Order: sequence, then C-alpha cells, then structure tokens
Amino acid sequence: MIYVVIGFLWLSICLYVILGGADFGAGIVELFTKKRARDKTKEIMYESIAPVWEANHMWLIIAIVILFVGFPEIYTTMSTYLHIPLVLMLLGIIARGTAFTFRHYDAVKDNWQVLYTQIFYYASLLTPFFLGLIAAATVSGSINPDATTFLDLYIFSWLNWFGVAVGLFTVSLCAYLASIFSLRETTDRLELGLMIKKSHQTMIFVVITGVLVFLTAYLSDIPLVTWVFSKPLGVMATVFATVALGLILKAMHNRKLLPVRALAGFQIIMILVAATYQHNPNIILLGNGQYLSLLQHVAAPKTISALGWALLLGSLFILPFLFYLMASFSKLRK
Amino acid sequence: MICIGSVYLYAVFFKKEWLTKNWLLKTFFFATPFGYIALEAGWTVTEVGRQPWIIYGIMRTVDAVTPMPGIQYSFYFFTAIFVSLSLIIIFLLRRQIQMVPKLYDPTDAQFNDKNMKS
Repeated sequence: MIYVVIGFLWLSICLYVILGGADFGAGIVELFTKKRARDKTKEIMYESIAPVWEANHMWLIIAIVILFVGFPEIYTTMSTYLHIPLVLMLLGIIARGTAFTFRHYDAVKDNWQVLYTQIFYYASLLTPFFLGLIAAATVSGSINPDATTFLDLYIFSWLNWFGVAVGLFTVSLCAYLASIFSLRETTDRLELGLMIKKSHQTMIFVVITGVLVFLTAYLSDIPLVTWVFSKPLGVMATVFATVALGLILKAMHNRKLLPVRALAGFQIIMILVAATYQHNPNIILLGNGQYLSLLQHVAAPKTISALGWALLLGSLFILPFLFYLMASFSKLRK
Repeated sequence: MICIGSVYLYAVFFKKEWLTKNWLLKTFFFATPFGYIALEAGWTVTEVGRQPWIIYGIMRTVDAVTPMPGIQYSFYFFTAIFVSLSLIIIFLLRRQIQMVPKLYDPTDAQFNDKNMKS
C-alpha cells in the first residue's frame, strides 16, 4: 500500500508541475510579451488555460495532504525549515488567483485592470520561482537541523545560488509549457507564428537556466551530475527528454501540432524522473548527512493503508471527471 | 436565520405575493451577515473549546507549535492578507452594486416579475 501512496504523491506532483506550471507560465509569457502583441497573447493564453486553471491547485493540495497524513516527519521538516518560501509561494497562489478572477469578472473595466494585471504577472512569476527554490532545498542539503543560528536554520536552508538557479529553471519550464500548450489554441497562421516564436524563445531559456542549474550545483558541491547520469534510468530519462525536444521542434516546423502537448508533458515527467529517481526513496537530503526517506519516515501502517484506499477510491471519482472537463472544453471550441 | 428561511419557503409555496413585499426583502437584507456569524462562531467554539489540546487528549497545542522563532510575524502577515482581502471584497461588491442599473435593464422581463408576460 505504501507504494500506492508514493505513486499518488508522485502523480500529483507531476500533474501539478505540468498543469499548474502551464497555468503559471501563461502569466509569465504575457509579462515578457511586448505591448503590441500582449492582447493577442492574453487571448490565446486564456483559451489554453481556461479548462484546468481552477482544478490545478487540487494537485498541490493532494500532494500536501499525502505528505501531512502519510509522511508527517517529512512534512514537519519541510514546513518548519522552509516556512518562509512556503508562505511566499502561498501568497503568490492567493494573489494570482484573485487577480486573475478580478481581471475577468470585475463589473467595471477601468484603470484597476492595470493593477490586477500587474499582480497577476508578478505573482505568476514568483510562485513557480519559490516552488523551484523549495524543490532545490530538499535535495541540496541546505536544510541543516543541527545549525544553531536563526539565519542558518531558517534562511540559508533555502536561500542559496543553487536554489535560485532551480527557481529560474522552474520559471522557464512553466513559460515553455504554457507556450507549447497554447499552440493548438491559435486560430490563424499569424497567431501560430507568434506562439511558435515564443515557444522557441522559452525553449532557449529552459536550456540556459538548465545549464545554470548544473553550474551552480557544481559550484556548491552538489553531485547533480552523478545523480542524473550515474544510473541507466537517469540517462534514459535525459535522452528521452532530449528526443522529445527534437520531436517538438520538428512538429512545430511542419506545423503538425497534434502531439506537442503530450510530448511537452512527457518531457517534464522525464526531467522529474531524472532529478528525483537517483536518490529515491530518500526525499529530503539534510545538511548533517542524514536523510528523510519515503520508506522509513512513514506514518503507521494503518494510516497508510487507509490513506491508500482513500486515494484509490477518490481517484475513481476525480480522474474521469477531470478528463471529461478537458474533453468538454476542447469540444466547446470547435 | 432558520426563521427567515422557513418564511421564504412558505412564501414560495403558498404566498407568492410575499416575495416582492418590502418587509420580506428587508428582513433578508438584515439576515445576510447571520450565516457568516454562525460559521465563525462555530469555528471559534471548536478551536477555543478544545484548548489546551490541538488533538483532543493526544497532543497539546504547546507541543504542536513550530520551533521556528518569530512565528508572530507570520501571524501578522496572514492577518494583513485577510484584512486586505476583506477590504478588496467590500470595494469590489460596491462596484458590482453600482453597476447593476447599467448592466441590467430594470424593464427587462428577466429581472422583474411585474413585467413578466403571463
């Protein structure tokens, strides 16, 4: 049963990064669009994230609940030492959601729109940045429960160059996903050309920030290269991700866009596999050489079995409806 | 709250003409905050009533609190967020209400029973 629970944890994190990431990315891409093309971009982006944007944060909630119920020790460590970035990320999620809603539903369209839009942009930028920062902190060994000062315990547990690089990488991944996902929402050649250009730009950013991640990992003595390339699965995942990138480029070149969404999603999953599998089942590597493992630091077997059944039954209800939601939205447009 | 609900249901089924009467609409207006008060009061009772336990009989609140110092700043932070969100909602609802005459034509049959064609 423990493997069912871990599987669901992994699934919800993957789906959050893919769907939620595309959602955040919409704001980021819009922010970095020139004024001239902004309205057009906004329209296309809205079309592409509309079906899932309310449902996205469900995956984050599921991941948090699984950690809270099934792995209380891991949850405690994260929420204690990463309190500040978690709160900032939460603020970003709240600000983003409210600003997005006001932007679309406020009865009066006046200068307040500018404020909503600005909040929406910067919250879209900061939330995935902190998400990446948090993810980086769990593996970089920067969380050190043996430290004595406030700064070492609660600030430098997440604030370091590697974390910043992973944050930037997450931001570019989100922008990349959003522009790839929006490709099929375009209605004419001009729009398609615009979004393909954006996809190319964000792709370049992903590669640059990816290099930055490896560089900062090297400089901060984090054996990222060994993690990713020492085991066959990591190498395979990297190869698959690169092949998918090539296929997406080819599909965009030939204007055959049917597989791009699936390929981009696949790519993200491969990146997550490459980044997390190597120290699996250890999920948090601490600064004092200890680690927190998904198999050892787990709740009582009874709790896990109840949680597993709850997740299995729950997914019977949620997953079909999620697919129905997406299907009905894509039919609506035709 | 329950009274006004029962009166409403009675009116829907037996006294249709009550629904447009001023006294009923005014009572509705004054009853609006009751739901929120009931919700908050219930929440306060469960949270305050179980102290000093956070999980009744198993874990005390003192033991559950985070070891991180300066947690009061998180409290101030979240209080500020909620206060600003409440101010925003007042502001937005005011705008929404001000726009009602412009958005909805009072002579439109959909929004006015008196104009409904029988």
